Amino acid sequence: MCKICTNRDFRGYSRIYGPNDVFNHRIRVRFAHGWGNHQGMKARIHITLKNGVLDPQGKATEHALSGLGFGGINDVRQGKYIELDLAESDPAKARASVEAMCAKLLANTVIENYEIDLDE
Amino acid sequence: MKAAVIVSPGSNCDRDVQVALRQSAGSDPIMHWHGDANLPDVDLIVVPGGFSYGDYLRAGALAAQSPVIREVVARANQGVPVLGICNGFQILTECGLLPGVLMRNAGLKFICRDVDLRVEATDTVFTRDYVNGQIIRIPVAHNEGNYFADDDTLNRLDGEDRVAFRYCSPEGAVTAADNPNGAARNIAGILNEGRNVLGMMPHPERLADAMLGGTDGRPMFDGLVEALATAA
Repeated sequence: MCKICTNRDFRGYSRIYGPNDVFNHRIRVRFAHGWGNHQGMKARIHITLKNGVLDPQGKATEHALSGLGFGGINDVRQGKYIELDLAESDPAKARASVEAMCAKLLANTVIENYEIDLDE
Repeated sequence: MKAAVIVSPGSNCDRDVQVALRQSAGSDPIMHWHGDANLPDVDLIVVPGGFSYGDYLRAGALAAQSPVIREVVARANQGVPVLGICNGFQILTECGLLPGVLMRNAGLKFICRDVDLRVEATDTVFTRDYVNGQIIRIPVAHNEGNYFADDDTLNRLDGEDRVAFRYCSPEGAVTAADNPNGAARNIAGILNEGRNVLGMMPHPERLADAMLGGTDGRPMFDGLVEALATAA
C-alpha cells in the first residue's frame, strides 16, 4: 500500500525526481509493474471574509497603499490561502472531503466564505 | 467543589486560575492536559486564557478540536458549568458551545489594560455574587476580542438576557468610546442558552487578590464555590 496515494499495488519505494518536482508533486512511486506517477491531487482553498464583515487589516493595508501613492483602490480585503496535497484520486470524493474540512475547521463560516479549486 | 482547568500548549493563565480557585475553594483544581479525553467528574470546568496552539489558523480553532474539548462540550450539554476566559472564550465559540466569533480588535492592536464592565446578568453560578448593573474593573489582554455575530444572534442574546458583561464607562454608560476592541453592542461576555456556559474576554483571575491591585474578579470565584458547594 502506497503511503502517499493509497495504491495497493505499491511495492515499498517512492522517489521524488529533482528538487522542482517536490513542488510539482510529481512523485514517482514503484508499483509491482514498475514506476508510475503518484496519483492524487492538490486542493487550493481561498478563505475570505464575508461581505459586511469589517476587515481592519484590509483597511489598514488600503490606507498604507494610498500613502505610497497607489491610487484608485476601492477596497482591500485580506484572506487566507491553504494548499492541501491529497492522496485521494477521485475528484468527487476529494471535493466532498475538502468541503467537510473547510466547514469543520479551515474556515469559520460565521464570518468567512471559502472556495475550493481541485488540481487533478 | 471539584474544578478542572484545561491546559493546552500555549495556555498562560491556567496557573492564575488555579491560584484564584485555590483562594476561593480552599483546594486545588485539577490541571487537565488537553490531549487527555478522560476528564474526571468535576463540578466546574475552566478553559483559561493564553495562546493555545500559537493562535494558528484562528485563535482557539485548533484547541477547539482537541480531545478534551469534545468531552467539555458533552459535559456542558449535561449542565456542568464551563467558564471560558479570553482564549477560553475563543475556544468556546470555535467549538460551538457559544454563538458568534471573536475577531481581530478593530484597532488592530493588542490591548492590555483594565476596563470597566457592567454586570448585566446575575442569575448564573458565575455572577451570583455581583449586583445587577454593578460596575467592575477587570483587565483585558487580547488581540482578538472583537465579538461578532449576525443581528439575529445579537437580538437573541439580548432578548434572552444572555449578555453577562458589557464594556462601559466608569459611570456605567455603554458607549462606543468605552469599547476597547470594537465588539458588537460592547459585549464582553455571553452565556449559552442553559446559562451554564460563560465566555468572557476580561480576566477576573487577574484581579482576584488585593495584592494584585484589585479584587473585582474575586466574587466570580467565590460565587462559583458557594453555588457548587451547596449543589454537591
